[in-house]
Amino acid sequence: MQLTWQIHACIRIEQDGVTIVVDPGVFTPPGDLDGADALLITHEHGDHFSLPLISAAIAARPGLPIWTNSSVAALLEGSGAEVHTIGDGDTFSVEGIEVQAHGTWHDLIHEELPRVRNTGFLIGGRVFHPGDAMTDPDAPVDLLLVPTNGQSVPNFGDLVDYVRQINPAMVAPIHDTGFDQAGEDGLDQFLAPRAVTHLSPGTGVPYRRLTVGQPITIRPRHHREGAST
Amino acid sequence: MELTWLGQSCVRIEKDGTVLVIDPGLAAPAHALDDADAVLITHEHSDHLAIPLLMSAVRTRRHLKIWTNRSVANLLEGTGARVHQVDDGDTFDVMGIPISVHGSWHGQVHHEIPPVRNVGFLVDSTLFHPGDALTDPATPVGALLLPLCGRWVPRVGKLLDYVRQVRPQRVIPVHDTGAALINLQVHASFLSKDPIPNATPGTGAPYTPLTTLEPTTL
Repeated sequence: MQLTWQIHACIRIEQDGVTIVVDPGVFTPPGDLDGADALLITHEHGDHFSLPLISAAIAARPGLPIWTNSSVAALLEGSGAEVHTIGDGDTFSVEGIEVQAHGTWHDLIHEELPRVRNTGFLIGGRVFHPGDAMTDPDAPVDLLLVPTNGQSVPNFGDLVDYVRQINPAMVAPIHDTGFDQAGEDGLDQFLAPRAVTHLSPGTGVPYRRLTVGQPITIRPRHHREGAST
Repeated sequence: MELTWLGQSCVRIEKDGTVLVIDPGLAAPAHALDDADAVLITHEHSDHLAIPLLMSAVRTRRHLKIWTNRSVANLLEGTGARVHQVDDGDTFDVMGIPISVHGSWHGQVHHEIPPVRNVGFLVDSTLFHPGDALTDPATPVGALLLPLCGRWVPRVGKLLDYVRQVRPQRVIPVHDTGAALINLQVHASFLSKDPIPNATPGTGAPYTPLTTLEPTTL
């Protein structure tokens, strides 16, 4: 399986000739949906769901299959896409790649604002994209994509606890558009696997900063407890 | 009272010819303490206290006085600095400007990292600098300096609740190192005074960012 971070919360996954794009939003450059066989959308916020971008992809490929929750599905009505509505606990196959849906709601922004639906995706049993919620898929995860900056994202210490809870083989930061270089450096230091006295508590999980546009290969491996490296 | 933001959490306050500087940290310009009569330090982290900058001012300005918490006072022991140790509930005055001290601890970074001491300063019943904590001085505040970004800073909805709790006449964002421009814009929108449907419930206080090095009158 190959994974490419497109930008922000948008990723592209390729396996056995099938290409899935998750969360094409307003920061995703036009062209990043070229060649996509299917889309997965976690929720309706603009940084995860750009209707103009998706409409262009549907025009280029009528009947483009999209899996998403009921709120986004309603927004896609009449778009010409083949929309599959899914929710927490569902398992489905995207051209042979098994995907599980986890979670129902976006993390809280403020008590006085309505919550939107949010669905995380465990893709191919390996990569977990939670959308904008600290959802635990309660399953082995090879690569956890963790949202690191945003209105619903808690402080760095809570992110450490989330990574520890999921205990993936590797963690990579996404959803980081609000950071400048100093912000990213501070995050990288704080989410390091090993504790540094008085500075960072240590997640216990290897941390990998992805480079936008550069694919990485995710090899089949077991949960860290059974892994040799 | 004239307020100048010197970057991150460093502010310069001038009133009736007296100059106070709070939290001269690594982001502060080299001249930050050149005409300071007093320095107030909320806590020991380097973005709030650059020791070389402070020591250079201590050497050249014999009358310079420093007010800070117990931990920072210990760090400065033996340096020749004239340090007054203060804690939550204390009041003092700097050449006629009354100051009260609020809070004792830095906002939590993570439950396994011991918190450092942190004191907030209410200057002349007008300006509140909380340091790195969301401390409520529980007294009327003119301008609240609000920390925006940092490993300990909670999500923006909790910052909004903090502003509502303190009920200042205006909010001035500070402590923004690490935030990209888009993040500052999002904060400005979310922390706006009035509600925006489906976007923010509103803080009730005007959000008035300053430009660094440009004085403003409070």
